[in-house]
Amino acid sequence: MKSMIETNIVRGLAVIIILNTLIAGASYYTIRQSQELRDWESHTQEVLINLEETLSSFSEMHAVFRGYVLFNEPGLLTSFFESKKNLLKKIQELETLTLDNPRQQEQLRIISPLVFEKTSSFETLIMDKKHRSVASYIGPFRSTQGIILTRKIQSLFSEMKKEEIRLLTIRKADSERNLFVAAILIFLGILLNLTFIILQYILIYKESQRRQIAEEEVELSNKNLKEYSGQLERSNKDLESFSYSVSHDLRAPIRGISGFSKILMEDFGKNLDEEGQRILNIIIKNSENMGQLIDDLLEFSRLGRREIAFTNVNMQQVMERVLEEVKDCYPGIKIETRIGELPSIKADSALLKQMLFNLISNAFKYSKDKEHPKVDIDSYQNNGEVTYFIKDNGAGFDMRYQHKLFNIFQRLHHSEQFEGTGVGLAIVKRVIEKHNGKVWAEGKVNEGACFYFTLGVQENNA
Amino acid sequence: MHNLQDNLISILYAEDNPQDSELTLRSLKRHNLTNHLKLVRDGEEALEYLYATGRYSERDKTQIPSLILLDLKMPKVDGIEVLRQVRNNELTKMIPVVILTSSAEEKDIVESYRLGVNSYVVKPLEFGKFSDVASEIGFYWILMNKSIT
Repeated sequence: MKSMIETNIVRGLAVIIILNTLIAGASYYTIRQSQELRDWESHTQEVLINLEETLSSFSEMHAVFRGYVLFNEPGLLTSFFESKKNLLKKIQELETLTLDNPRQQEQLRIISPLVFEKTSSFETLIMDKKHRSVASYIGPFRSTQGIILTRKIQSLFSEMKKEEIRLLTIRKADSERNLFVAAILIFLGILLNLTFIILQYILIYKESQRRQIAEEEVELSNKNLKEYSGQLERSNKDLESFSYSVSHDLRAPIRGISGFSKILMEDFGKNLDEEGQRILNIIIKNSENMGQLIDDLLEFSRLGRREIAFTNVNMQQVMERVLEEVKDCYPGIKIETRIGELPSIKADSALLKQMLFNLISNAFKYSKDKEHPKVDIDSYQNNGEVTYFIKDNGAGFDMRYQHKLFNIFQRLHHSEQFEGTGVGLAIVKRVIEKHNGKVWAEGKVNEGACFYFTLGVQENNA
Repeated sequence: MHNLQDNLISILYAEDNPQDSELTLRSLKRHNLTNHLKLVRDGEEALEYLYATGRYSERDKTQIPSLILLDLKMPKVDGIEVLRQVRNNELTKMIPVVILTSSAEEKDIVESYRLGVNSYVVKPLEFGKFSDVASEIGFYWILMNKSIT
């Protein structure tokens, strides 16, 4: 499960990426905008220059014309036409340049015929000059009509200029404002970005802190676990050595009771009456049972401490041998036995033999009272794992108590019926567990029992 | 009389439990082996007897038993220690030693064989079997086994 902090870090990173993209986009947009505004500025300046030039062309045309009239120099006439051409060209240029401004266009439309009128009046005068003296010019040359026209043209142009200057001021202010706003926006963006980065850093720091604490906790709990398992191991050892020495030291007095009772029976049995002998026999029997119990317990306790040694075991051979041994323990009882096909397996051969001995002798013990006792030993494969089983048609057991079957000292039959100490199957279970295998049983009262076991798939494949 | 009997002894038996020793003796008696036996109560006494020191300083130490029967768990000096000393001494290193004990502990068995025990026998609990084992030991090591001397 991801921690809350981790999720927040991912979110924060996403925000930082989005912010950076926005800042980059805004920067690009404002740069383009200010470029546009600057273009407009330079356009305005161009218009202004053009206006200036138009005015000066107009003035020049006037001056040249005046010179021509005064000095009658043909060269000046050429200059006059030059100036006129220049003026018309400038006006035409202005018309193109001011296409964006309808008011100026309107003004130009007024100016154009006026200029045309002015130039035509000049040209008429030039034509007349060939037939008139210089003195006769003065009147018409200085005609009030001509001065008014000139003033009108000039004032129109200066109006246009004023308008353009106003535009220039506005556009300059626009550009400055734009730059200012853009700078503030970018600055704010960077500020926000930095805030998020710092926030992110704090989160990452917190997360690493959290992980460190968690690591320390894991380390601590590992240490504790080690300690506990050490303690457990020690107390297990203590318990084992305790149970070992208890059963060990119990042997001597039991041997004493059993031995001296036997001696008593042998040496003085004939002096005792029947009841005396019966009681003595009970003592002997009990001490023998106790002795058996202690031997089994010792075996069980030894088993817990034994290191297991795996070898390849020929199950068929081992089973046959163990079966012979068990048969020797039950002389005079005819039991029909059958051994099926048993695959070899990896196991601890000594432990395995003991376990098989317990299982098979159990089968014998519980079926020997039947009319036709039968013990069937076989195996089957299941998911690559071999399951062995030992089946008898003996006393069986009640499935309700099957959970007690493999527990130490738990018996499902009375010892008058079947002798035993309740350790045999506990030993079987311990051996199987040491092999990482499983053991289970099925049974039915008076119909027999079947004990199944596996010895662990890993050992099988190893 | 004491000396004469000592000279005949061919089994040295160290056992601290009087009941166990009585049972063993009874079994050996059946094979007429008890008059060849010297019983000592612990490892210390066994060593004193073997090397004629302390309580047995007047014993003729050239007379050595032909079998040593040892219990493992004994007060003062235990069976393993007696075995170690017997095997480390030129005088006694050839004597057959049989451990007769209650312990079937692997480490005891391994240690005993490492030190050169001839036989390791776990005392059976049941008297009949115990009696059999004791007499078989005496029978085998005293009557059947061919020793150097």
